[in-house]
Amino acid sequence: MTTTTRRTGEHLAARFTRLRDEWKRETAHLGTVQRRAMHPAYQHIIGMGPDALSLILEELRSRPDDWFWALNAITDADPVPPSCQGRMAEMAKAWIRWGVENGYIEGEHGG
Amino acid sequence: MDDDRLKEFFPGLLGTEFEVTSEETVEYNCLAWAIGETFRRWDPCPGYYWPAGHARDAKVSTLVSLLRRFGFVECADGEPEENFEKVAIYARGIEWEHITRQLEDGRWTSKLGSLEDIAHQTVESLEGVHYGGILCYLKRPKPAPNSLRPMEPAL
Repeated sequence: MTTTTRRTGEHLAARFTRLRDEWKRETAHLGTVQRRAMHPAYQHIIGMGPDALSLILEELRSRPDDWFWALNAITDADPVPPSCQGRMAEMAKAWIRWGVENGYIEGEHGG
Repeated sequence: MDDDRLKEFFPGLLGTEFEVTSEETVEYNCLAWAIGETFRRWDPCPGYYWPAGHARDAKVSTLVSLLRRFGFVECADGEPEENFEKVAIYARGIEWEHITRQLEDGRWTSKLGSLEDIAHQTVESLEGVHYGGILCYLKRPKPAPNSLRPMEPAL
């Protein structure tokens, strides 16, 4: 990895973290996903495009939250089976599996 | 989240009694909680649970139609009625923002987004910029003791 690439990655990660924190702080009390997803910070994350996918998926792996709208908007994929709809842990697992299969994140290696 | 932060979001809680009754969780949301579930989120957004046969939109009319399927009918107000449970829908314009359910003692129980559940003395205390105002009330008969309510009745 070059210095420039590493700096770009750090910049993206810092920006994602700032936007994520702002979005969570200002929308956690809202009742519908649509209303949360309309927040400017969330829209900025969607605007980061595929560069944000690994960050969103790692976030989803550690703290499931309403990231599915953003993932769908960026990828146009919908890997959540109907039987898992609304079940946050299962939805997160489906997307993490998709992320591993498509090379955006690494799988977890059991010890 | 501490009580002061909740009051910042919902100034109507100032000067009224309310009680935090759960931990924060993303596992369920206000609609699931109003219906009586705590293991999934009911939301019209694609990927979330939404009963088949109902439009995936946030219109109040769609939500009322969905609630009718689960035994609710519209009613005049939020006054406690023996043998009935009531819900109140908060909306801004034609889209719903929140739903709360009445408790046995006449208070209301709300799941606040991804935050905690609270029991609040007045239904009006959550009105404001975030949830809008109360648009309508619905009620359904309370289930008989030890009876199971079908979670997804046939259309």
